Amino acid sequence: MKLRLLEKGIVLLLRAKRRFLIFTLIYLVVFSLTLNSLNFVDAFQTNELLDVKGIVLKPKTELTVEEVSDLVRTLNEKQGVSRAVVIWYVKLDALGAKMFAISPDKIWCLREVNPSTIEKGRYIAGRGEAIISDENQLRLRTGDTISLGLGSKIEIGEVEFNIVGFYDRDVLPYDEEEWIIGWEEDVDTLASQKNLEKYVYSIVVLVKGFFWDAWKKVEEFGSEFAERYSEDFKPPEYRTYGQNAAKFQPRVLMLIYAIIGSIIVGVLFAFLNVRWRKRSLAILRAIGWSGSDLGTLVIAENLGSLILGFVVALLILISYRKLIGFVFIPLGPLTIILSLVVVLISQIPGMKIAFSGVLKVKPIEALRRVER
Amino acid sequence: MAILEARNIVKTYKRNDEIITVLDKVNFSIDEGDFVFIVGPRGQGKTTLVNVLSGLDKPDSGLIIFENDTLTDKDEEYLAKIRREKMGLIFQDVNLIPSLTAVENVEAPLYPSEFSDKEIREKSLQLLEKLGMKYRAEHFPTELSDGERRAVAIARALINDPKMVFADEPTAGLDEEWEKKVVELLRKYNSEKRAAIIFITAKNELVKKFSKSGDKIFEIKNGKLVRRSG
Repeated sequence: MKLRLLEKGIVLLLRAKRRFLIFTLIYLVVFSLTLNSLNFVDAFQTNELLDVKGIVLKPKTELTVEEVSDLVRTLNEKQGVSRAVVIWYVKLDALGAKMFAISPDKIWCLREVNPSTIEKGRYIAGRGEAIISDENQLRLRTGDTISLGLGSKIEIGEVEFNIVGFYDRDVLPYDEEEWIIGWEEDVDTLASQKNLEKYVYSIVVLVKGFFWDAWKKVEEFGSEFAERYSEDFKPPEYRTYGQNAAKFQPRVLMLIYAIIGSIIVGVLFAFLNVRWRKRSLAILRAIGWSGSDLGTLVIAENLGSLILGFVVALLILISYRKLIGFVFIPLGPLTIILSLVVVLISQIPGMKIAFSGVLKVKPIEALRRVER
Repeated sequence: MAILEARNIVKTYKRNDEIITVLDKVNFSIDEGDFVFIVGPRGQGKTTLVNVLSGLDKPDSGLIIFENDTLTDKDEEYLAKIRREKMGLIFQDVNLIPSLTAVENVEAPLYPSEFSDKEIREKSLQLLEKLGMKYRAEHFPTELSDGERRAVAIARALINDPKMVFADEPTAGLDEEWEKKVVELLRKYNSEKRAAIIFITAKNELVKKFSKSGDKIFEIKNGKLVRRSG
């Protein structure tokens, strides 16, 4: 019976197109904010969070990829590890530069240069693209410099790279050589053509679960690796919570705003839904519907708008990820479920208002207009 | 046996600083299977009387007794249950839900019941068929004529097989053909189910035309209810 009332609530909502559209759109905005914020908290959307979610191991000396393969294997087999990512590069002696190999699964793992550190242009999105520092030039071993702008092409070996963006030079370690970031397959081709040796810059261990799990793993792995690879590896690098909090807190604040927004929209919808439809509700009351029946109907309408707004927000976010290939927004099922739970809980005050609102609807109101 | 009884019903409204007595010590009683006409000019309290009798409105004083159960001291939830299970209401202003189709409007009183969707739909379509309205079942109220809307409202009032039907000017604004159709349908329901019908109208000629011997006819004037015949 209650299911039927819920179904009718949805039907009524879909038929009241304007009301439905207005609130679905408002919910959409609020939920996009909630999803995005929660997604940030749950996942490692930026490199700042990567410090918390992932553990970065850096070799003291230059190691070849082959030398660390057993370590990667060991890491991948460890409980609580999502995957280990090796960031590698080749040395371009003539340009006095290192060329880093990046692929979609590594974008955020190279902490120094990633989409959030791009100063101009955009991050690489595929083969044939490269980014350099905002000094806009490469210093040759001979002492000459080549000036480059957005859209400039550089040919290294037989591979041609199109400059699509510039990163902030200050993010590089002091006195570091110039870095060029290229697509992994291109760098691989270049390495095999010129017989270049691959060097490991860092190994990023991504940890499963929430960000706080990473702290435990950092402690666990840190001591283990420091002991096993003391000759070759520095201790795991990670910032303290306090350092991360400065970057982290605005996002948490955004999440709080989104939840407050969601509560306000829920309350407003519930209030207006009862107010705008007082006559229809009064008619239903007059023909024998109980307060709880009316409450179920109104709550179904509220939930219908809310869930549809949520689904549309989700679809937009997923499409956005596909549309802009170089922006990496991980969106896991846990984030989606958590977001839905948050928005559903945020609707409780609105639903309580709707429920008490319908109880106040007097059936005589269905007839009063004629009486007067 | 009396199904509905009104004892000393008084209902007043306040308009500006003036107190208007709409129902003035109304007393009457109707039995199961009665067909009752209440006639009176506009603004004499006919609709107020229906509202008070059906529990939609509270009287200032007096008692309404329905099937030996005093309604005047009951809360809204209880009254809604009585209306859902035992009463059918045809409003003067039709009062269909605009976002529901004709058949859904007819079904509406049964949505909060234990009947299955299929049973409710079958029952609603049968009623609409009796009124020659089945072909309009999927139309929304705005797509129906006045007569058709009223027919839907009548079907809605009868869907729960009520023991007591309040028809507040059910033929208002209808042509002769529809007028006849509506009265005949209520008559048929009255004889088949032995349900009591209160038929409110402002038209004396309608009462003359459609009343039969055995009907109870009351006249309401200045808040007083006077029995004419039956």
